[in-house]
Amino acid sequence: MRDVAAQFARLVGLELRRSWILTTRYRVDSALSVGLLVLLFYGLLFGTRSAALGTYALGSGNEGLLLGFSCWVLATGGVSHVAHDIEEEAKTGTLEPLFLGVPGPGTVFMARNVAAMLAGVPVLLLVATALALATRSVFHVCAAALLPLLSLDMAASGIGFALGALAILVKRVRIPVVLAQLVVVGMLVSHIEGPGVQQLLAWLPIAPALHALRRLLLSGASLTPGTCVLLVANGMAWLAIGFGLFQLSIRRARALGLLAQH
Amino acid sequence: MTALSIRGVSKRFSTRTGAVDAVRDVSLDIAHGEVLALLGENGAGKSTLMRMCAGLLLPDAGDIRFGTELHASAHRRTGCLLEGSRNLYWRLTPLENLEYYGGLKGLHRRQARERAASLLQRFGLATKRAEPVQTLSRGMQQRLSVLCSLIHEPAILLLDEPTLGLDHESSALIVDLIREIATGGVAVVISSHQVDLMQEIATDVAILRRGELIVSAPARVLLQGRESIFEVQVARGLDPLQQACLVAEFPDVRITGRRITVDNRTDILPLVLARVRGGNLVSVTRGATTLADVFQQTVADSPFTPHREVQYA
Repeated sequence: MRDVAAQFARLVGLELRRSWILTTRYRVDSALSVGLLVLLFYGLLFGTRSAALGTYALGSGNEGLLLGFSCWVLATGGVSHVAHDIEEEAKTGTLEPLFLGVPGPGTVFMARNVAAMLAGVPVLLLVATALALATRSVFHVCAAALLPLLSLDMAASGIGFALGALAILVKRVRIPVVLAQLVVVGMLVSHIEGPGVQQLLAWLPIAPALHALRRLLLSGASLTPGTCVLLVANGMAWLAIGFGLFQLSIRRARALGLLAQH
Repeated sequence: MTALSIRGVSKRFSTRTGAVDAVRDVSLDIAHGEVLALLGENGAGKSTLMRMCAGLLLPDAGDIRFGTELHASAHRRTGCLLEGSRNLYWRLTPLENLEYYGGLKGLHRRQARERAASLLQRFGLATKRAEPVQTLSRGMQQRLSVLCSLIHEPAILLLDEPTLGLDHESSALIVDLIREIATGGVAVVISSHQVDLMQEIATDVAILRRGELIVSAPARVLLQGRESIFEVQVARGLDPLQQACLVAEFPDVRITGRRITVDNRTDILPLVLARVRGGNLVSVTRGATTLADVFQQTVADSPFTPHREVQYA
């Protein structure tokens, strides 16, 4: 078990290095990507604010802004990373060699997901610093928010793996990925309340994490043990479903000879 | 000792018009230090067989073993170059590519770095180690692709069309590289349309036609008894009717463009020369039979069996 964990950590390190090399080699492109991401977020945020007459799903304070941005980055990235990677690698012809590695493609893409999440941390810190400087304020984001964020990332990654499963078989999945991102963004900016709604949302990906974050930010309520269990179970279940579909699609692609296509 | 053993492997693909048997009941063995040349025309099943050996494609029947391991668990011991030079990250440098693929094969970073540096030095790419791959020549990219498949020191190397699209000099460099690898005890399976290059390195030859293995033998055995041929050069290629008549009359005759080869048969040579109009004849020489001749003759001689089409209800 320790060996497996060490190998996975090494794989994450390998992917982080690759990502770092490409980020620093193409600095302007990387900086523009971050800038565009922030602009998109703000555009969406203020658009939603005006449409919702000044209310925002995660609160209008700086903490809400920062957590909203974190959710946006994790959720939209989580649902698109695997499928986007597969589409690109198939196009450039580097997809098949990933299947020839010792860890297998599932583990490689899982490591890439973790690496992407870790690589997003400096971006979040950068945005937080910029926000703090712009508003001349100090952030107080409680550590309890980390669990909902982790649950959100796991569930989003689960959807990402399911889309990746589709990408393995058909290669071009841009439209389904954009649709999934729109649904996720819709969940981020909307807030549905009502009898029985929370019980229903508990089964959906991402929704329990967003609900927990709202409670943390808007009413200051702490996470109960039950909520913590729900968050972990929801994140893990959706990740397991997505990863299972991904492994099934790999087997099917191997049987049908679909890996070489692009 | 057998490095790679292929037993009764078959693969069928479904198409819109039915099913096609891409590989049919193929069995082959290759030992360490041997180079098996997998020859065949387009669509013969070479790449399908290679992909099954690499574990990228699951056989419908039969099994593939690497020593005692089934292919699924043999990635640590197998190196694979897929068709062309498409297994490289173009925005990374040769050193970074080698380190990355080394990591995927389970090497520690330092180990991968050392091996990468040594391979780049040994195979003439040390000066390009820090250049992005997209700036390298096609030949260098191809050499780097082969090196990427060698980073973890595999016991078996699968090379699918490693000289595709390369000029003669670059192809010769790849051939030298493969020869050196095989000398080190690595079992190499190589598929290529460049039969002349395969003759330089192959210890064993397998010829596929329409998914079936029609010949499998050591190269020296295939060339034995056919040490010499007559080679007739003509100024203009024969027209299709002339070609058909000549081949129908003399089955030992093979025609490739302006080159007509006749097996070591002094009795039929004058008859062939008589059929080639005097003004068209350039030269008659006696030369050694090449693997290309053997391949061409074998494919021509093998009975044509069309793909089995299976219509789905």
